[in-house]
Amino acid sequence: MSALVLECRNIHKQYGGIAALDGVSARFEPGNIVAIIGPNGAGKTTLLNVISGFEHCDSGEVTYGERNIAAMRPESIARLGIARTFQRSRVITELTVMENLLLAASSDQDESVIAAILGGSFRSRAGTLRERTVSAMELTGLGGYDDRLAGELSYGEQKLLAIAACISGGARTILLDEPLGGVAPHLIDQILRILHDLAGSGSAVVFIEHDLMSVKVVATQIMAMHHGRIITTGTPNEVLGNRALVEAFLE
Amino acid sequence: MGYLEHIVAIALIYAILASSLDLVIGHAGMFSVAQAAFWGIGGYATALITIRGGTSPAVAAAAGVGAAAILAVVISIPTLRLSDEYFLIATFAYQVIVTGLMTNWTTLTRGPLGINSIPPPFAAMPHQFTAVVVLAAAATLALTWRLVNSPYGRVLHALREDEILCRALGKPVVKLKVTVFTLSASIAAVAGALLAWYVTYIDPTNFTVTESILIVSMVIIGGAGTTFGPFFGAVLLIVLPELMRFVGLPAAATANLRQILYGAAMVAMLALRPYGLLGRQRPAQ
Repeated sequence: MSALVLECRNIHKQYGGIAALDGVSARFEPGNIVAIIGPNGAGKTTLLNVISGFEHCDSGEVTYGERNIAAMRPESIARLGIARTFQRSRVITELTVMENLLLAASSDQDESVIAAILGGSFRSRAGTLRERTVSAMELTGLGGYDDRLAGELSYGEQKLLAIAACISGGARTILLDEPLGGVAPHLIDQILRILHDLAGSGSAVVFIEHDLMSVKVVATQIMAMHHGRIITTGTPNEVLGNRALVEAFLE
Repeated sequence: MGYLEHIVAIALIYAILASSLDLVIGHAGMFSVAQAAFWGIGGYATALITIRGGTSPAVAAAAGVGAAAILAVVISIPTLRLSDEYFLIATFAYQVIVTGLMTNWTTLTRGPLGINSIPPPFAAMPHQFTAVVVLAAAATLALTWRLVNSPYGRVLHALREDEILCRALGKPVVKLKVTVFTLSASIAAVAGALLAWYVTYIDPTNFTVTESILIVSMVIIGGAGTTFGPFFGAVLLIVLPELMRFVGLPAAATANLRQILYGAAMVAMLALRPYGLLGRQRPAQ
């Protein structure tokens, strides 16, 4: 299953008197890696929240394929194959790495009370689920961490696990809120490689990032935001080549 | 029935209640103080349907479980959208309403007079009854153990720790909460039928908020989220006060002393073993 095109059209979101999103339109396609850059308060996270359903826009449209998802709940949007991570890494600290990935991969049937009592459906699917988690671990370089508690991982490893959970959940459109923030240098390269591989396999990747060097390495497209608007969008060379813009808004 | 057998039966009925409440408090992280309300609905439905409807006690008990389950679904849909402390207050309100109905809807429940001569499902053979309670307690323990060690348990634990992440992973958060709350209420209703059959008399004071808080204490003292802990906590909180009978204090003093001991036990637990007797040790940090 390839990713569908995710599109935002003229999104407005107001907090009190402040326009967090002021007419944002954007298109995220399979195989692309879009980096969203901009100063704090530019509306980057709000945009991810609106797309993933954690906040609803005041006006505008968010479509995934043919479907308008603007008013849907986060859990319903996730089921369509749109996964997200959070700025502060969120993993279930008391579960192991493997259990976190199995959690992401399991369906409602796998996790039903009936299945728990009868031991039926989830056993027969156990092999499939395990395969998906193992391939997510291999893709993210978490192989060998199976039985480590997620709470014992370093901050960067937890961010890696959060990305692995998106993959094992089968998402094809992946939204990452500062996946590199606070991550040790050796893991940064690893995460950039994962983003590259994901796009290579037909996923749509969107990530928020402050470090322009990393953005330049991996992004196929950059969207610069300021005051709730997209002020420019283009290839890394186009956007980062504009010295005046970079200095004015981003440094 | 012998004194010892009586203690075993009562302790195990509370153990069923504590184990069922632990699914909600310990495993799903939803703090409810309405367990006695569901217990009472099970007890009253069993008694009333048997006596007034003339059905067999087993059918009445099944209807009682059904009634508790339906009520759990009905009240949980609005209240489970509330977060932590608001949910606690909502369950408290619900508990007070149910006890209020039991006390004041006298045409149905006979109010404070209670309902007596509740026919048990089999002729008066005391040992059989103890066996039924033992079986029910064992079945409850087996069921909760199986649930919490399954993918269903895993998603409950995830929900307890991070509801937002669960939403982002596409988990049907509200549905999961409704199922666990309903399941817990249904098991409590079974305990209600057992109490009605065993004592053959129930009144509203059996099912007050004080009882709910006692059941919560059993869960916390035993160790919330540990499966065996709440079971153990229930047995402990029933058996220990009974032991005080043998100390030779006047009855008036032991009743008060019991309350003081519960309080002291709670404080000691929170200070020394915040995760309960069978819970994990205090975290290292």
